[in-house]
Amino acid sequence: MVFNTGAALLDAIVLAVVSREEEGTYGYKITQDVRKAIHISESTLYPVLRRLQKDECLEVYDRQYDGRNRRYYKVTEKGAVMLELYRSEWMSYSKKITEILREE
Amino acid sequence: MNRQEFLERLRMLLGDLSEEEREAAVQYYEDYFADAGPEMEDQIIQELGSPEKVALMIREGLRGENAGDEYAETGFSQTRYDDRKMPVDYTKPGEEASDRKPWTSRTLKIILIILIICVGCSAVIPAVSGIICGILGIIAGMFGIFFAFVIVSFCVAIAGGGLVIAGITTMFSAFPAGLLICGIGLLILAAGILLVAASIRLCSIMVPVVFRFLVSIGRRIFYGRRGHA
Repeated sequence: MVFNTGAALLDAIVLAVVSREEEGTYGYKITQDVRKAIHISESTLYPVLRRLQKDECLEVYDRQYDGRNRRYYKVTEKGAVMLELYRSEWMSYSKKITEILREE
Repeated sequence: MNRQEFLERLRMLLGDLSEEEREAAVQYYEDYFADAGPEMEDQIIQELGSPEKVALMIREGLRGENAGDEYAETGFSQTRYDDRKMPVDYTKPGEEASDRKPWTSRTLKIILIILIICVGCSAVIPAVSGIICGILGIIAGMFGIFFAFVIVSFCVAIAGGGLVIAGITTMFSAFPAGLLICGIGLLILAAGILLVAASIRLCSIMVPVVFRFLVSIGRRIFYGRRGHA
């Protein structure tokens, strides 16, 4: 794809991906799910997740899985509000871009 | 380099960060390797590049330096878009770490403005309404004085009338005294009627004068010292 993904859009995608899992989801799965939409390198996501966690948009908890602790990410209330904002912003933005790029 | 070496190297490179930061990052990549499975190990290490690059990205993320960066198809590119417009209530992601203050000061400012408005209103509204009520009171007082003149004159006239009637009734028992009272009553009645006429005349002169005076004061207040109606 020729279009780049800005930081805000990546935040939106990550929040959307994480919010799909009621119980929360983990780093590897988030990376895979985000990659269904955009290609990001495997090292890109950690700083984003960490930042969203510090912004209190995501919360983490550890759960036993396969004899080890696995860190899970979950969307907080604030994160859900943020995601709603991103959703509406994206809807209007993408609609306008589509409108302009549409062939007559 | 295998997964173990990679993680060790990463832990070492993040040595100067807080333990919490370092362990969070290392745990993330440990999880990542474990969840991807051993068969993916080489591919992931290759894709992650060097532990140095991963460590650099973690640091930049912590410093909030990648706010304007873009995540391109090819990976991570550092194009800055400083003028990126954000919705009003959205704090720029990268500003969180270092530039939290402007955000709080903005809300602080709004709160302060609201406070000032509240305090100002609580002081100004009573003051203004006090002044307006005071002016209305003065106007009412002036009219009251004139009205009182008329009423008093009426009362004097009525009292005179009363004395005349009392005098007439007294005449049956004591004629001279009754005649005297009747005479005084008539005098007072006449004086009262005269006063009523005078006070009504006074009102008809003074009320317009007072009105003009008030209008000229109003003009001075609202238009400066121009109008003298």
